[in-house]
Amino acid sequence: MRHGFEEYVRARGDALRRFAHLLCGDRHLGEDLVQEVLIKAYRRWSRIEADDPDGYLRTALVRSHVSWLRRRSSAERPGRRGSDPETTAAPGRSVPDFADQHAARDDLWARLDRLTRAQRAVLVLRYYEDLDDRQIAEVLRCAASTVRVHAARGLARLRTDLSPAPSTTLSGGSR
Amino acid sequence: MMLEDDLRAMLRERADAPVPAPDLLEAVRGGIRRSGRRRRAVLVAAAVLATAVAVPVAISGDRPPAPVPQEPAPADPVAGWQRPRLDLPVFPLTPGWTPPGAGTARVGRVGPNVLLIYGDSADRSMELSVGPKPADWWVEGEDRATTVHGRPALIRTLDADVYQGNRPGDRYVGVRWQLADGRWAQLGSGSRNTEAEVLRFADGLRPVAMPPTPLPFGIATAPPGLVLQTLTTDYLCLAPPATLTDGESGRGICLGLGTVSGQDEPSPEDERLTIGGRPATLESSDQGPGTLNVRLDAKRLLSIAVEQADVPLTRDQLIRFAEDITVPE
Repeated sequence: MRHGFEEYVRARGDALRRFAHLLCGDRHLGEDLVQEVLIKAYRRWSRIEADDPDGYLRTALVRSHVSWLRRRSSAERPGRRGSDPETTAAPGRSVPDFADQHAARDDLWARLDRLTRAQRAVLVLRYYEDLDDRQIAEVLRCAASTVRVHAARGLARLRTDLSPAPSTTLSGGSR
Repeated sequence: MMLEDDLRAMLRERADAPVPAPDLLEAVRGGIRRSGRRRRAVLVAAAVLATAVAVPVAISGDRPPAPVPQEPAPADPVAGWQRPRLDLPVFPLTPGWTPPGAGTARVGRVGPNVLLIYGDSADRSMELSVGPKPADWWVEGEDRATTVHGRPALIRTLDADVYQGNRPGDRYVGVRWQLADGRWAQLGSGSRNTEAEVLRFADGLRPVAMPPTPLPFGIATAPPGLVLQTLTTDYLCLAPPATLTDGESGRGICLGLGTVSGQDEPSPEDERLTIGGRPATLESSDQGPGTLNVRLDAKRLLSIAVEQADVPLTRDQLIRFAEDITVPE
């Protein structure tokens, strides 16, 4: 394996994992995504390394995740929604008063999971990566106006989608 | 606090949470080894190719000559191998109507699921899967109830405005329903097929078996006991029978035919070979040989990837396996 690639993964791997976790809403899916993107990046590392590896990989993570034909049979795991242990409270768990703010953020995190991938990606890029709409548009390969639409719809849904009834699939599972 | 402020704070809080630390680098190393077969697993349909020609047997390398063995010559690395006897998948349904221009259907398999693949036309590509469990939707989208043959079904649609690798105007239409025998059928279209066309195709399916589709490659010899675990238009995998329960493609030894691209430039660590006069590279890892890429001509690349956990192969065995592959011209 190329030395420069190994060094980069050691140095920046956790940052990529954090970003992918926010994108996917699930650590395991985020981990899979990071691995998949790094594996592809390895093949062209000499060119990536010479340019902007952080930017390249951030873009690759988003595009891979948002790709609407991304066909990974393990990607849509049954029960994925709300299955992140960080967001799943034990039955009957009482929330201490001092944790109200934390609980509200847990709720916000859970509501993020109900957005489309594109909406979620736009919000993560805007509010975590602090990119402007033009930069986000470049990442997503779409118009800045489309970014604004995604952001508006995503924020609107976060505001109003406080307790939606989950849709039910024929298999009896819920998503 | 404004929602945007709360969102920003929440994302940073989540990101700052301690990260469980499995060895990312080690996982990536393993994935690089398997990357060839993964890429092949998503190849779209190639042209139907007619005439089979053998990849001639000839191996020479630009590596230093191997040291003269001091011990007696090893046994034939492929002793006990045989021509694989593969049961080709039979699809249980036959279309009564197909969208105009859909082209020829090919029968395939991924683990327990049998597939009917339309890949001749990017405008009309479509895939129908039948298996013991509901297949995955390709995308997130809007769901609503419908019927197929009078049976309850679910339809999912998405007009994508953000996507990768697809064209403006493409749309996703998926339909899932349960057959009378309890198996699940799932139809997916990510092209120009309309919702009405996809539903008409589903409604037109009859419970009559489709004949098998010939394999895209000829395999003269392989380790004994392997079965066809994956088969698509230009990709197949041979693996132990136990892997047939796995709905993931790419188990065992996988062959894929793709087009040469810049991503296929060999790494400095790769071993350079010549197979049948054709340049080839072998990617290996600590676990052994991983992917052997043979450049068939200016455009076509044959990749043979080995999942060592399923089918342990030595370098010499992999090369011998490759030598006896025939590829349609």
